[in-house]
Amino acid sequence: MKLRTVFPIVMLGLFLVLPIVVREGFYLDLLLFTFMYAAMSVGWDIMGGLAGYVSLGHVGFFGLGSYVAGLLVVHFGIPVFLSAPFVGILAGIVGAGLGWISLRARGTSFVIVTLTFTYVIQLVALNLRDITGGSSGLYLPLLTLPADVVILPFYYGMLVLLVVAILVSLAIRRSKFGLGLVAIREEEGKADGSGVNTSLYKILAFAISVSFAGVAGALHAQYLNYVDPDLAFELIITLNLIIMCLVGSRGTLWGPVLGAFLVQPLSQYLIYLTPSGIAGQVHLVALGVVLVLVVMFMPDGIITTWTSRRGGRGRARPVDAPERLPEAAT
Amino acid sequence: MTALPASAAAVGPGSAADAEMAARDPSTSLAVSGIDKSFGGIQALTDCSLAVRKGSITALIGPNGSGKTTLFNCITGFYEPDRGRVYVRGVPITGRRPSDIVHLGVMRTFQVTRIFRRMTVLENMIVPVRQLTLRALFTAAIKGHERDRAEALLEFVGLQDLRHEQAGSLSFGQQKLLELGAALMAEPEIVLLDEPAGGLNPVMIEKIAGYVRELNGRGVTFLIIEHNMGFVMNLCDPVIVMHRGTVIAQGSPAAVREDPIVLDAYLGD
Amino acid sequence: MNPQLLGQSIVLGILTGGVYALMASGLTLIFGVMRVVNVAHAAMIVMSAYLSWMLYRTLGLDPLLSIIVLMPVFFVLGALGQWVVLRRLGGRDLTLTVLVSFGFAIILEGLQGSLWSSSFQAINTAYSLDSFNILGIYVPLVRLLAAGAALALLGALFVVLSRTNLGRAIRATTQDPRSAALVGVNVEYVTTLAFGLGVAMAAAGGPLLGMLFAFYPATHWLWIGKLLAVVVLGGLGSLKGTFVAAMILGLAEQVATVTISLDWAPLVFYLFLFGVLIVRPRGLFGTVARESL
Repeated sequence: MKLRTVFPIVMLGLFLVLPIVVREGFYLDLLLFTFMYAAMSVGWDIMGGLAGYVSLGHVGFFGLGSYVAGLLVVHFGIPVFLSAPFVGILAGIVGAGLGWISLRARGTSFVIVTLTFTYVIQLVALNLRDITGGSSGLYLPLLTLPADVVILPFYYGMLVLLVVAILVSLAIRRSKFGLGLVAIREEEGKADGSGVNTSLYKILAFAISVSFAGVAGALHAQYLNYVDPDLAFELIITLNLIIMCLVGSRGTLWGPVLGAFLVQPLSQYLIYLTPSGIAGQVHLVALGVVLVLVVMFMPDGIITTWTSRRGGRGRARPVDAPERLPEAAT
Repeated sequence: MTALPASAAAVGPGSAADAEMAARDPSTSLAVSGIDKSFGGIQALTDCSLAVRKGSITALIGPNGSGKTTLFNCITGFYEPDRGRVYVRGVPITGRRPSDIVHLGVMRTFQVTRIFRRMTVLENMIVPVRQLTLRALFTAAIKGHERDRAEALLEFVGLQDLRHEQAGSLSFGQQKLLELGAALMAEPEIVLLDEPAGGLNPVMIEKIAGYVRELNGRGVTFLIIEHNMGFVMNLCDPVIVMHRGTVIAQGSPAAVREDPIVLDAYLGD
Repeated sequence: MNPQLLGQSIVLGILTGGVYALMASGLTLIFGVMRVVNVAHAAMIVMSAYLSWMLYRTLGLDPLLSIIVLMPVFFVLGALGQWVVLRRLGGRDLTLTVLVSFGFAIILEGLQGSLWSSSFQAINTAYSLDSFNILGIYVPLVRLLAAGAALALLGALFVVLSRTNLGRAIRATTQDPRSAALVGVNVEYVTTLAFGLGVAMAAAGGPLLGMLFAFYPATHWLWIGKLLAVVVLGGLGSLKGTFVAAMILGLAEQVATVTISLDWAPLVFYLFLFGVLIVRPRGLFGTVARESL
C-alpha cells in the first residue's frame, strides 16, 4: 500500500484512541474544532476547488444548521446527534435552492448570493424572536453526561463528519460527476457544449458542499449548549475555510485537511497570545492579511506547489481516478 | 428532397417556409428556420434559414461578421434566438441548453480552440461521454470500455502517445485534433466545426480534411464554417453563403463560386 | 394606511434612495470596469464614516465638508491598492480578486474594531436633530442635506464619465476591454483610475452614512448586501440603472418600514435581489458585454 493510503488510516486510528490517553479538555477541544473546520473545508473545496466557484456564504449554512438543530431539540426534544444528518440534508436542499437562483448563469451571481445569504438567515434568526429567542439566543438542554466525558460525543461526532466528508470528496473526485466539475472549472462553456449539464452539476456540488457546514453547525450548537445570531453567523468561519483550502491547495483531496490542521492550531495560538480585549479584532485583521498574502503569493497552496516542484506525473492532478486504474496493455 | 436542393446552380436565400418543410423531411439532419438574433441593437442574424442534408459535408462561408458563429451558437443552445426555430431530425430544439443538444446528437467545436487545460488528454476525451445520472455520481470517472473507445479515437487522430499529458501542454495543432477527437466521443450524428483549418499548416489541414471525409463515410453529417477556400471546395458540398446575418446563396462549390451575388458580398465589404 | 404616513415614507424613501445611489455608484463603476464585485466596498464606506466621525470629534470638521478631504485620500489609496495588489492578479482568474477584496473587507472591519471598539457610533452634529415641516410631512434636515450632497456628487461623476477623456476611456473599457485596448486605451491605467474613482465614491458615501445611520464595524455586511441589491437591480455596471434602482429600493424600504415593520424592512433588498436573479439569471448584465461563452 502506498504512503498516501496508509498515512490517513494510521492517523485515523490515532485520533480514535487518543481520548483514552489524552484527557485534557484543551487538546480534545482543539482537535474537535480542527476536525470541524477540516470537514467544512473539504466540503467548501467541492465547490470552490473542484468546480472553481468560490462561496462566501458557508457560514450561513453553519448558522442554519445550528438554529435548526437547536430549535428541534428545544421545541421538539429531538436530540442533536439524531437530527444532525437530517440537518445536513436540509442545508443541502436550501443550498440547492440558492444554487438554482445563482448558478444557472455564470460568474458573478454566485458571489453576490452567497455573500448576502448569510445576512438574510441571520436577519430571520434575529427577527423570529418567539421561536429563536432573537438576539438573546437559544439555550439547548445539556447532555446528561459526566463532565469529564461530555466532550467525547462531540470529538467523535466531528471526526466522523470529517471521515464522511473525505470519503464523499474522494468518491466525487473519482466519478464522472467530479470530472464534469473540473471541466466546468477549466472551461465552462466547453463543458456545457460537451454535454455536461453545468447548472445541474454546480447546483448539486453546492448542495453537497454546504451540507457539511450544516451538520457542523448542528453539533457546534449542542457543544456550546447555546446559539445566538452573532455566534452562529461569525464570518470568520467562512474566512477560515477559504484560507484553509487555499493554504493546503484548492482542488486537491487532502489540501483542505492539511490547511485545517495547520491554520486552526496556529490561529488558536494567536488568540491565546493577544490580550483578550482586542483578541477578536486583531484575529480578524490577521486572518484578512493572511488571506490577501496567500492569494497574492501562494494561490496554488502547499500540496500543488510541492508536487509541481517535484515535477513528473503526479503534479496537480485534478482528478484522482486515472492513475488508479490499470494501464491499458500497450 | 423537396426544399433547398443541392443543385448544380446556386439558388437564392432559403426561406423560413422552405426550412420548415425541410425540417419534416427525414433526409434533413438539421434545419434552421427564420432565426433573428440581436445584441443591444446590433442585428447579428436576420431571418436566417437553412437546412443540412443528412450525410452531407455542408460548408458555411461568408465574410467576417456575417453571423456564422452566432448561428452556430444559436443552433447549439449557447444563444437563445430572438425569433425562429432550430430542428434536429425534425424535433424543435430551440431554447434547450447546450448540454441537452449534445445529447440529441449535435456536437460542436469552437473557433478559438477550447480544451480543459489542467486535465489530461484522456480526461478531455471522457468529459463528453454522457449525461449526469444519479449512478454517475459514484461510478468511476473512466470506465474500461470508455477508455478503449477514447484510446481508439486518440489513435484515429494520432494523439495516443500523449494521452497522459496535460492538455494545456499540447501544441496548437494537437489541441485542435484533441477537440475534434473529444467531439466524436459523444457519438454525434451532426458535427459543427468552427474553422477547423484556422491557423494550421497545409499538412495538418489535409489531415483534418481526411478525418472529416472518413467520418462522413461512417455516416456523420458535418456543417463546417471555414475561410480556407481550398479546404471548402475540395471537401464540402453543398456550400451555404451568409452575408449580413442571413443566407444569400447555396449550391455546389462550383455554382457558388460563380454566383455574382456571392462575389459581391465578398468584394463589397 | 394613513396618507400622510405614506407621503412621509415616499419623501424619506426618495431622499434615502439618493444616498444609496451614491454609495452604490462606486461599486457599479468598479464592476463595470473589472467585472469583479468589490466585496470591501461597504467596509470602505464604513471606514470613511469612522474617519469623518473622528474629524468631526477632534477638529470639529463638518461631516459634509469632510467629504472633500476624504475623497482624494481614498482615491489615492484605492488607485494604489489596485496598482500594487489587484493588478498583479489581473491575468489570473477573477475569483482571486474577489478573495482579495473579501480579505480587505475583513481587515478594515478588524481595524475599525480595534481602533474604535465594536459598539454603535453615529455622527451627531449641531443640526442632526433639526427638521422642518412641509404640508404636514416631516423632513429631517440631515436627510435633505445628504440627498443634496449625493445628487451633486453623482452629477459630478456623471459629468466626469460623459465629458472627459478619462470618462470615455472608462466607458469604453466597461463595454469591452479588448476593443478599448485596440483603439488605444491603456486599459491597465484606466482600470486603476476607475478603481480609485470607485473608492473615492465610497469615501463620499461614508460621512452621509454616518449622519443618517448608526454604524459599527460589522455593519458593512448589511450594507454590501443592500448595495449589491441596488447594483444588480440596476443592471450591474450601469450608473443610470443604479440610480433608478436605488430610488426604487429606497422607496420600497421606507414603505415596508411603515407597513410591515422596521425589523423586516432590510429583507426588501434581498427579495428584490433574489427575485431579479430568479427572473433573469443571465439577463442582468445591462451595459456590460455578455460574459464569454
